[in-house]
Amino acid sequence: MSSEFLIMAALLIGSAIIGVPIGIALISSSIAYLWMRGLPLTMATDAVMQGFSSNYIFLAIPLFIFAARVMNAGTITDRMLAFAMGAIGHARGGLAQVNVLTSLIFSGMSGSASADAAGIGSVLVRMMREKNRYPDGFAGAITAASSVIGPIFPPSIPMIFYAISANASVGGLFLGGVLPAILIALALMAASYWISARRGFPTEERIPPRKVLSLFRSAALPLLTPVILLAGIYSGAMTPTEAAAVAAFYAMCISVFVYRTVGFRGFIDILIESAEKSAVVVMIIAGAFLFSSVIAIERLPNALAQWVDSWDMAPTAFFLLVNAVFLVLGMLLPAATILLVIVPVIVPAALGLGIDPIHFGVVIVINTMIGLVTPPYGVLIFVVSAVNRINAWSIIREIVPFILVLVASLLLLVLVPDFVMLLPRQFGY
Amino acid sequence: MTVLRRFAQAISIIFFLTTFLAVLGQASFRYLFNMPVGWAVEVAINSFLVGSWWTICWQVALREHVTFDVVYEILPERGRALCRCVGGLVTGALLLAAVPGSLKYVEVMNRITTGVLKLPLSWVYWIFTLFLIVLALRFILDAVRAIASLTIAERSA
Repeated sequence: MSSEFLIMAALLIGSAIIGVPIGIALISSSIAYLWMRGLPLTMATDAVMQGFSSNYIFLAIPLFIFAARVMNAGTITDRMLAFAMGAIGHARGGLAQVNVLTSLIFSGMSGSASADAAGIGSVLVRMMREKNRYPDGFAGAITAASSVIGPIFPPSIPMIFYAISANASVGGLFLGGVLPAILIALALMAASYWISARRGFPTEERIPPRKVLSLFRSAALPLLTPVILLAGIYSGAMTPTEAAAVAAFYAMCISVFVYRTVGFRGFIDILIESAEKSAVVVMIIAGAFLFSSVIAIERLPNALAQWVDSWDMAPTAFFLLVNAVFLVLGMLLPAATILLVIVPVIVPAALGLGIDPIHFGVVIVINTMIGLVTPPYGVLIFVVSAVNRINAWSIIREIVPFILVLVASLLLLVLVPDFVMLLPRQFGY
Repeated sequence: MTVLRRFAQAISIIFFLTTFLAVLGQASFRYLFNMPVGWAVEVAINSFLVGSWWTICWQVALREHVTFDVVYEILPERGRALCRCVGGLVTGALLLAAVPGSLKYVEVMNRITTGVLKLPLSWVYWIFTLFLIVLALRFILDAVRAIASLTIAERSA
C-alpha cells in the first residue's frame, strides 16, 4: 500500500465525515491520488465513462426504480394490503404479521427497502397506532425490520450493485435471494407472534375465505410482476435489464389503463423522481468505478487474497469474519458504499477460498440490509421515525429482538449454503 | 429560475424516457419479431449516461446525495458551516484540477466512434467534463455561502 494511497484514504474518510457526498468524495480523492502518483488525470474520465459504457446491467437500476415509483403511485399498495389483511390479519399480533407479509409481497415489485418503509410501511404504522393498539416503537420497529426483506427478494437493486462489483450473474443472485427472503419473513413473523403473545397484542377480525379470494383477485395483476420478471429472465427470453423495462411497462399499463390511478401529470412527476433517484445512484457507482481503478493500481484485492491465503483460513471462518466486519461497517456506512467500494476488494479472496460468488453475494447483501436497521446509521429507523413522527429511540429499543432474528438468519445462511444455492443450482447457475 | 429548472427537468425526462423506450424496444423487437436491434443498446446506455449526469449537474441538491452524515448531523450550525467551507473548497479544487485532463480525453474520443451508430464518443463523454465544472462551481459556491454565514454570525454576536 503506497503512501499516496494512505493520503487518499485519509482524504476520502475526512471528506465523507465532514458531509461531502460519498460518490463525489470517492471521485475527488481518487483524482488527488492520480495527481500525487503523477498519473494522467484523463484516467478519471476514462475510468468512469468506460465503466458505465461496458456495464449494460446497471441500466436495470433506473428501470426498477421507475417500476417501483409507478407501483407506489397507484392503488396497488392498498390492494396488496387488503389481501394480506384477509390472509393473516386474524393471527396473534395480526397487524405485525400483515406488516411482514406485505413487505414480502411488495419486495417482488420494488427492490428498495426505503420505498417499502416510507410507502406501504407508513400505512401499516398508522393502522397499528390507531387507538393505541400497539406501542409506537413496536409499530416502527417491525416496519423497519420487515422492510429489510425488500432488497433480498427479487428484483433487488443492491444485488445489481454486487453483480457490478463482483462480475456475478444477476439472474443467479435474484434466484438465490428467494428462499432467504421467505426464511427471514417467516422468522420475523414467528418473532412477532411470540412478542405479541407475551405482550397481549390484539388480533384482527377473521375474514371469510370467499372474501379473501376476492381480495386476492383484486391484487392479482400487481402480484404477477415478479412472476413476469423471473419468467422473463429464466426462460432466457430477456436479460435482467430488459426484464426491468418490461416490469416497468407492465406496472405502467396496470396503473394508467387498468386502475386509471396515474394521469399525465402524475406520470411526468414519476419520470422526474425516477431520473433524480437514478442520478443519485449513478453518482455513487461512478465514484466506485474510479476508486476501483485506484485499488487495481494498488493491487489491493490481490494483496488481500494473498494475506488471507497465508493465514490458511477455512472458508467458513473467513466468511464468518467477513460478515462480522460487514455488520460493524453496516452500522456506519450506506449499503451502496459497502457493496460498490469494499466488496470488490474482498471478492477475490472469497473466490480464492472456493466460496460460491452467488452464495457470497446473497449473504453480503442481506448483511448490508441488516445494517439499514442497526444504529447509529440505521437509515430505515430514521425513515420510519421521520415519516411517522415516532421517536427514534423508542424504535431502537423495540427493534433489538428483530435484529437478533435477522443476525441468526444470516448465520444460518452462511452455515447452510443450500438455503441460498438450492434454486440457482436448479437453474444451472 | 423556474423556466431554467423546467428546461433542465424536461431534458432529464427526455433522456430517461429514451432509455426506457430503447430497452423496451430492444426486448420487443427481439422477442416478438425475432429482430435484434444493436443500436438500441447504444441509445439506451448513452442517453442514460448523458441524462443522469445532466440531472446530477442541475437537479440533485448536494445534500440529496448519499452521505455519511452521522457526524455532520450532530454538529452545531457553526461546525456545519466550517465543514461545508473546508469540504467545498477542497472538493471544488480537486474536481477543477481534473477538467484539463477530461477535456483532453474528450478530444481524443472525438476520433473514436460507437460500434453500431458510428457516433463520435465525444458526443457522450463531454457530459463528464460538464459535471466536473458544474459540481466544482457548486461546491465552491456552497463554501462561499458557508463563509458568509459564519461572518454574519460573528458580526451579530
